[in-house]
Amino acid sequence: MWAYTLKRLLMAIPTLFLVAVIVFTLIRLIPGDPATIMLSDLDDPLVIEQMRKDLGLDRPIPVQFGLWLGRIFQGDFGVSIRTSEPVLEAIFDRFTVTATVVLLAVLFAVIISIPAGLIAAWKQNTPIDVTIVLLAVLKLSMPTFWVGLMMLILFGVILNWLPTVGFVAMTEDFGRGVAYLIMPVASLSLTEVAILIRMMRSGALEVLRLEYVTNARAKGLPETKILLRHVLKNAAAPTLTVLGLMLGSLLGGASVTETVFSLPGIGKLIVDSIYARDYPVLQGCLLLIACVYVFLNLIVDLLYGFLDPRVRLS
Amino acid sequence: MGHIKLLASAAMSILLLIGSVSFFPAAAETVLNVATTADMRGTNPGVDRDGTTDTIHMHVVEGLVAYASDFSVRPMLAESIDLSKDGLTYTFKLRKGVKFHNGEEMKGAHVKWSWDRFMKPETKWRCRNNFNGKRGVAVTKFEIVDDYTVKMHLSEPSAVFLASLARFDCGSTAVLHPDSVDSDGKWLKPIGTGPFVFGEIKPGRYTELIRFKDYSARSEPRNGYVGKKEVLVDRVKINVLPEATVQKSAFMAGDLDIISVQPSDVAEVEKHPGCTINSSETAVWDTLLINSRDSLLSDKRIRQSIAHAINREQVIAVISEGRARANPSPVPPLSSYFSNSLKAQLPYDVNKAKALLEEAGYKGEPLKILTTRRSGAYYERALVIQSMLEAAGMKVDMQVLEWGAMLDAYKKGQGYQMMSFTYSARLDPALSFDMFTGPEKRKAWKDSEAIKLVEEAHAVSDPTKRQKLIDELHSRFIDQVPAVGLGHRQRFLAVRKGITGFKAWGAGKARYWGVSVK
Repeated sequence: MWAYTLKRLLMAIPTLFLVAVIVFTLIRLIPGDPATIMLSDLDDPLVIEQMRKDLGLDRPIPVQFGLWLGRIFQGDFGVSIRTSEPVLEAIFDRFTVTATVVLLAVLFAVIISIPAGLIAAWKQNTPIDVTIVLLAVLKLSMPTFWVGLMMLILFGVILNWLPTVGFVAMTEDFGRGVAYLIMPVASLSLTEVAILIRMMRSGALEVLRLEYVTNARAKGLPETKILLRHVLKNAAAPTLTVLGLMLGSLLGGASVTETVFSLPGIGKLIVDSIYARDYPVLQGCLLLIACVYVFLNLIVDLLYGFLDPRVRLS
Repeated sequence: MGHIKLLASAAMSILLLIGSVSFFPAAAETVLNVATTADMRGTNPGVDRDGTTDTIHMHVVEGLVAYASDFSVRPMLAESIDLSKDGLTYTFKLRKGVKFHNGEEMKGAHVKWSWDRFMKPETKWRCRNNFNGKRGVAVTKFEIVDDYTVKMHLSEPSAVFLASLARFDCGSTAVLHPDSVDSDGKWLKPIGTGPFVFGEIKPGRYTELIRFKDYSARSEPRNGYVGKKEVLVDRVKINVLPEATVQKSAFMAGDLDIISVQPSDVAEVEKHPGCTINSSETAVWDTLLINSRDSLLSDKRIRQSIAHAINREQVIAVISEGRARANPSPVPPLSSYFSNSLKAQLPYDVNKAKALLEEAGYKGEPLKILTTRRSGAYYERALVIQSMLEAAGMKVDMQVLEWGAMLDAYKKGQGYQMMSFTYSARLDPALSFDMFTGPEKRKAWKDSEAIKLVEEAHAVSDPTKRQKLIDELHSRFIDQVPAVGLGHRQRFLAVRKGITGFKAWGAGKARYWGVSVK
């Protein structure tokens, strides 16, 4: 397993290098540059020229790339063109917020969806199954931003139960921090629940049809034991794959949720940086997302082995 | 005796305990919660800047002069300003007893230090070229006459010198204390003379302004960025909320006290109990730029046809829901230079538009309007104009770009035939024309006579002579149609019940002094 892990980590290096090249180039293909955006129509062409020079934008792109890469290896990701904040600091601060919301949302989603999917499969074609599937489909048809806005209006404006603006970290003030997290976590969680329920139900239905499950029932094992010990592990694999991809995607920034609830997360940072052509921040963020995906995929692959010994042996 | 001593000690202890606990709870801190759509760029005025950042900086720093509500330039840190007969020397008498945020009194040496710092290339002051001869006048010498008198000597007379000093995108040429930088000259934070100091700054979340208790206020009533700046709250919390919908929800929930409102939301927000709408026409100019270097649009008849085909009043009525007025001139109506002559325009006349097209030999070649979905009704204006031009017989397409891409086309002066554009506020009439007149690539009006008139308007200080120049510029503008002026942006701000004293003004910049929270 260690050899496998090391091999996967080494394979990540060329992947990340390729990501760096693509990200660096693609960003610069977008019309407009940071100097133009920042100075807008109140400008002095000499000032724009000087700013481009200060930002190193007057150099050839390969030179810019080489300099940036060299600094990355020294741990220097540069500073934000927009806010002059060190990039690593900006990313870390925002990532912490996103990770808090996403991990909590996914945790609740898993806690709800795995049992719900299992039960729906177990009670296939009964009112319970129909209800669970109907709720999942209903939620899937509602855009996340709409759900978020409705929650904001209901709980924030009409009922005035929860705050509508701002963010307080739980480490600063636990109670207030939780209050600020309830709506975004719930909004995000509902979307993930709907997807995971469908995946889990589908996987469980396939496994429930297999002979060894019939055999287990014939042996007289209780249904709960069959579901938890025999069905869950085998049915979980596809759900795990989706979970890994979902987590990677969300950790890259749930920008819609962050925008609706004004969370200072990484998604919002990326969107703002694109509009402002904040190259250092964008490059840093996208590299981070690539790392997250590589890491999460590795974890998922290792978990497969844990769940299914045949995978481990092969 | 022992009992008495014991009782006395107990009584003393009780009294001390009572004394340490106030029966009158400490007054709660008053916080004004407002919103902005973008993060502040930094704390260095005139260096780290954009529109949002300028608004915040103007609460912390002040310059020798500033803009009043009628866009005239008045003394702020200066007590008085004298101009020599040859127009080359400005003498500023400074106000006495003005305190910096570190408690020191402002004196001539501080003003010179600030100026010298701004003029150093390494400071990267955005407006340096406006004062070193590269873009007009040069300040040849800055003289300290005494602790409360300084002189600035110019290379040539300039009617826009004071206006340039007052510009908020220049940080109002803030007077700062040397403690604003460290021993190596590296920027720390602004030690200015403004009514607020910076509190907590959390990028992506909020910026706080805290009342400066020893602020030295002027005595005249509040007037634009001059006059009395009385701070009636302890803190202002400027929350970063890019989405208008989110701001509106937060306002309705009572989490925000003042927000900017789109015209389409005014009716809804007005119904909110206790809410008032503060409205002000600004100097932000909405226009349709016309690229006269285009082969088709180089013909003046086609440009005039475009002007005749556009019903300005209708365009403005649509985008403002009937809450703003049209204006054909780049000079804002709030300006003291907005004379009756500036109301002249090529009237809305579809038949005349068609006749001009025929005369010019227009054969239905497609025309394109470049626009963006950015907030500010760029897209909506373009849409309405497209239908008006088509009604006059023109074939018009729209191309929607992301803001940065459209700005790139604007800067290069190419890649577009017409552009739905907006210029930030210019408070001096010469600057109102200067923003789109000149040989530079980005400028739409390259007429040599117009350029000459703009240069003259920069140099001439006499109001009567200036007015004549501005009137003449406007007359040429509506004849040559390098752009079709639509109007100056109406700004709407919703103010929650319990907030008093807030007033919008023509520069479109919020002011949080004179505002109290109940």
